[in-house]
Amino acid sequence: MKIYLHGENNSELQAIEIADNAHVEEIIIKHHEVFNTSGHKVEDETEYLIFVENDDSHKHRDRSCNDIGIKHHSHVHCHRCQEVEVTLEYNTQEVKVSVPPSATMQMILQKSASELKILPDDFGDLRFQLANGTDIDQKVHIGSFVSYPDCQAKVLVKSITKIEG
Amino acid sequence: MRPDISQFVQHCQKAIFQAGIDDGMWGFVDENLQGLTNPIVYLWISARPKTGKPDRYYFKFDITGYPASPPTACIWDIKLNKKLPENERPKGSKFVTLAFRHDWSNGEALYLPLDRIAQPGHEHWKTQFPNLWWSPTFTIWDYVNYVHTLLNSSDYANS
Repeated sequence: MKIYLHGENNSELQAIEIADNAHVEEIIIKHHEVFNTSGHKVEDETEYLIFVENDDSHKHRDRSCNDIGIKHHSHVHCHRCQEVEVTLEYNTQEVKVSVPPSATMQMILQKSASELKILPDDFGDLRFQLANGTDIDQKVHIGSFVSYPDCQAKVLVKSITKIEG
Repeated sequence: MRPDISQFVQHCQKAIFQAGIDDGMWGFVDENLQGLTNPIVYLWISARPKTGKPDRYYFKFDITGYPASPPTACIWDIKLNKKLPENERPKGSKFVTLAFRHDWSNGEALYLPLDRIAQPGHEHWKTQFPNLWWSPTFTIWDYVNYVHTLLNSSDYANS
């Protein structure tokens, strides 16, 4: 089956083929092959963890994809951080949430919306940026912008702007 | 294969674009990209549910000179094979209507910094919207993904 692999501090998504009953260990090995091939240096593989998109905890290496719900077209993340502390800034307010590296901005927003006083109806009109001005798409994993051991990120939440004149 | 078509096909094969296809966010009307010989491509992009509105909109993309030159896209009536009329275009009071306006350039291009027809005369957009001003390092994902964002916004869904 084909799954999508997100990597630590690397915003280039990779697609890999694995057996339906592959174990988590094999995904980590594939991760290193693919990201090394892409010219991205990867450290010792023993430190890396696998997270399913928006799942709270990492998956043990001896678990099989069937057991943990990884299926065709699933998005998984390979990262050394157990969790990422995200500071969200919106309208001069600041909120901190801890999420897995595989958390999408959609998930991060859901976790912090009530504190930031953002209504669910308005989620779709928001965009996200790192402090350096890099836009973050709603479906990208926060771990793709975070490098171990600095397991934190600051995200600016802004409204989509009207493009005119 | 022409270099612009070849580059376009290569970019469509990247994981990030393929993930959008697999997630039902967008797709090709004709999936046989290897058979592409001219720089016109028809794509659909999914939209958030809205009463009386389709679940996807179609676009006629012209990728001449891609990626050095931005693509241009016209919102399209795929059944009648012509540009979509004004009353059927996506609407939203904040920012959506303007992107799909019919009253500029004969309604034949999207009013976005990503679009080849929209860029001339709007050079100030480069500093106002730097992440949306098409440059040769962009790929078709940048364009299609932004249109998907507009069609799935609260502005679109609630207007």
